[in-house]
Amino acid sequence: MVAGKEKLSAVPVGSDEELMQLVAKGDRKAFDKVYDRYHRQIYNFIKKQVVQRAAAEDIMQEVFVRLFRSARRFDPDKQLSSYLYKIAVNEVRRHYQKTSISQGFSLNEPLSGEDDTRERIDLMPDERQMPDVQVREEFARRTLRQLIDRLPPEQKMVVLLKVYDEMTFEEIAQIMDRPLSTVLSRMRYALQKLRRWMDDEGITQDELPGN
Amino acid sequence: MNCLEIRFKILQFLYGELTMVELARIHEHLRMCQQCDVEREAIEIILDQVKGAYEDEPVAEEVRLRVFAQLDED
Repeated sequence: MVAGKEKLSAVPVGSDEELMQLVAKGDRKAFDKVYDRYHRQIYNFIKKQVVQRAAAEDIMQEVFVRLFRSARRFDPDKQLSSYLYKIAVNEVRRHYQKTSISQGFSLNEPLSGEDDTRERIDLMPDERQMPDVQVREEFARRTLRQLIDRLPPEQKMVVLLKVYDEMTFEEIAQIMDRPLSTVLSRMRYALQKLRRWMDDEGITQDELPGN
Repeated sequence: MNCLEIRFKILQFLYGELTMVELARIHEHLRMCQQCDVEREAIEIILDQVKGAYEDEPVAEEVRLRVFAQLDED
């Protein structure tokens, strides 16, 4: 058996590793499979970070184009999902730098542009048709999302990677390229702020669904 | 462990990201220290609340087409 074939046969068929070997050779079908496998989770990570759908789609496009272009540099000993998140984190940071909101965050700053507000309201179910309890729950969820948006981007990123993407703090530290202690302190500060702001807004535990 | 050390490790404790020995020590501290236990409960509540704030959204198929179109331009 040829040595190269021997090596290839050791990679499980259909695994991320095999797909990335093919992508590195320019295989678009393999790349499409990678996109199928990860697009939803990467998009939802980005969307929570930047709020605006158009911006999230632009960043998503850039992330997958970068993945394709850098496929030869992908280390098969690492997880593809971590590699993708790392690209996504860097693209989200680039977005924040471009829009100049990564610094000087303040409580009084608008949460996002007017377009975003309109988008959110459009997405809301018709509250007139909803029972009071559902209206209160939806209002509490919306308010909480707005409070999360007020967090400094790096704190927001840690919280959402932990709570929604269910990574360990070590994984988050690697993906964000920050020390573990920094990740943990950002999470602590973020939760402290959210607790304080939720108290200020009068959101109680009972008003949020699932509690 | 004292209360300050507990505060630093409480998040890793809640997610089980410590050694068995550390987990046991913190568990024991929380059993004895009401103040730290109240703090633990408050963090658990806010984490639950954050978890309920968002729902996953579908991705527009157009994004896939845009990715491939950009690769075609290379």
